[in-house]
Amino acid sequence: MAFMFFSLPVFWFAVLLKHYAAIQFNDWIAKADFPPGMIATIAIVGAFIISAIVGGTWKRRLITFAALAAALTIVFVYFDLVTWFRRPAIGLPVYILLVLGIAALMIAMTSGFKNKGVRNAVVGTAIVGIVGYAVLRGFLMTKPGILLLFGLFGVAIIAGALCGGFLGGFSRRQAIFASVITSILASVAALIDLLLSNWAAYLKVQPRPIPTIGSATANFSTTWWGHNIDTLTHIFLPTIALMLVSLASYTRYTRASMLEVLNQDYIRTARSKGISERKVITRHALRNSLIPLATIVAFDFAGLIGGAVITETVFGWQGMGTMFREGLLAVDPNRVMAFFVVTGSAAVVMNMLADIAYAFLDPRISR
Amino acid sequence: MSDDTTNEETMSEQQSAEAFEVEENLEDAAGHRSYSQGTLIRRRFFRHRGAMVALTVLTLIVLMAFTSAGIGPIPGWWPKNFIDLYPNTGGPEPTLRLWPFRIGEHPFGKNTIGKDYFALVMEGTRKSVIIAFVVGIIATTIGTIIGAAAGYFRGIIESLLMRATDLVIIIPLLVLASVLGRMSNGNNVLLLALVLGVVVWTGMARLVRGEVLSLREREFVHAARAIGTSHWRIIFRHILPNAIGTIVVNATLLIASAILLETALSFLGFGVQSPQTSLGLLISDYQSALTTRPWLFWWPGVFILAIALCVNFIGDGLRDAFDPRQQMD
Repeated sequence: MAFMFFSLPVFWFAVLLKHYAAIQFNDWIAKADFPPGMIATIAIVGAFIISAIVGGTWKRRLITFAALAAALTIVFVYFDLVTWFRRPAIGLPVYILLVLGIAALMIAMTSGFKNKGVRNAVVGTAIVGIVGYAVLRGFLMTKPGILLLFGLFGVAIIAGALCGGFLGGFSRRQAIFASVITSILASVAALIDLLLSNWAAYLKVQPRPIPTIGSATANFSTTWWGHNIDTLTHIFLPTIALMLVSLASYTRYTRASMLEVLNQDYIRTARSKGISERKVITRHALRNSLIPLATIVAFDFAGLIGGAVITETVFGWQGMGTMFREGLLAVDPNRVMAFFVVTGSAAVVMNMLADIAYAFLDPRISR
Repeated sequence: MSDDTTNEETMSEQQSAEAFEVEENLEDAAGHRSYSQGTLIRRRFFRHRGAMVALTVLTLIVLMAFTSAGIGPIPGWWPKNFIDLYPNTGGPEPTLRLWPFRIGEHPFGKNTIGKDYFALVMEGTRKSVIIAFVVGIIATTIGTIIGAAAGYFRGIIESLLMRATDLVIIIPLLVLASVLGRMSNGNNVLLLALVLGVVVWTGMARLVRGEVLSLREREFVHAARAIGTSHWRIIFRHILPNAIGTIVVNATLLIASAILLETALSFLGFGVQSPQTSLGLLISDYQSALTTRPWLFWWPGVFILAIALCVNFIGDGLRDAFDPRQQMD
């Protein structure tokens, strides 16, 4: 599967995205209906993939498969009945469930439910988040602003840290970490809820929501949220195309460094302690194999710029990539040189940051 | 496995290729045959199912591309060429049918002005394959020599060579390649391949340097130096044969990325230029035809994907064959 990603010509994939993810999606969103055949396909394929990931014995797989298929069918029939994709909404009750789910996941992933400090801290953060969002939601819908959003995000992080600090007990550091992550995820969920609540209004002024060209709709007058959704829908396709470029190299590097880490002694120690294989991989191996990746993400900057030249050409963005391409086609050394200077110095800065981050993550380096 | 055999293995890894010939066809106490390093690698590679399938598919594609138009004086088996226009009989749709199987007049259809698209795609495949392999050879040679020199000599030579490598790495590959590709003016495919080869060797140089850095401290290199072997002889006869795994695997992966790079360049208009054709150029020409004449868009893309996928699978098979510790299971 990973081979698929780094054998895929990006420009070809980008054009395909334009056709299938934009034009056909836009045709579909006009009605946003799910015919029975489509629901069946989604339910069976989705249930099959997830049950394959969950694994286990054949009996367990069959049970997960059946349960998931039934759940997916119900969800999509509901989506079809209320044309959810034209009028999507999470609403406060689902938001509360979502945040509680995030909190439970965070507790399970960090310390487990037995640790009282972490549990109290994360649940406290979740409650603060839910109450805060319930109070502020109406205000955010009517009078939004970028500073307000960032300010609230900062407040959420501080609240999470305070909860972790005061309720954490003995495992204070882990409690702070878990509750800060919880508050960040809760803020993201709130943002998604706000954006979804404005989607119906956006569809009214922009009946074909996913554009294939440009970075903003021309002559577009709507609310603050409408403009943000507009930017997001324009970013959507180029982001997927660029993501593919990076995903290809990251999977390769993660695989290589994972294989190296799995040969280390401490993995053998962890296994001989009797920890389950999943925990060995996620707790012990993955964290350490991600250290080299932290530097590669920065080194990959050059690759992203190369990818940007292609995506900007395909999606008609006016950016550095387009400037470079037009400059080169017009044999204009100044534009090409400007491109080299800016991207080159950005790459140098990124590499320096990568080196610093590497020394920070792996203390053996800085010695 | 007992400690003795492990030691023997590490010992035998350290020696140069000739030493293994002696060990061939030996039987140990339990009556198992022991194999030379080369035989082991070959057997592991042939047992890698993905790599073998990929090798077959790639061979078929390359054979089809090169024999269809003929090589030199030998005529090919496909009667049409990619230059002539063909009369409009039976519409531009592809005539290839899988069931009942028939190839028909124009298996991949015709393009907007009536050229046979099968011949065009085959021509593009030929160009892309030639460019990819030439780039692979050039980049491997440059990268290996620079990496080996930097790793072996250390000191000022190393810092000079590696800083030069960093200088090339810091500029986005696609960007550097498009400037050079534009300068080479696209009509000469070999020149384009040469130019691309000059920019993609950096990764290879770094890897070979890392490998040589550890190999040069081994005992057999000290031994060779002690009997007065010259530096370049040590590099080529003693060090590089031991680094051959890294080099071969990365050469394969380099070829795969060279195909993608060439097609991307041609797509942007800086690689192969019309009237020559290449898979990337075909996609660039017909990207807006996806709704009206989808086959013009699909076929070149499928061929790029197939070639790159096959080369990547072969590289993976080689990696597993050369370094069995790197397998997931």
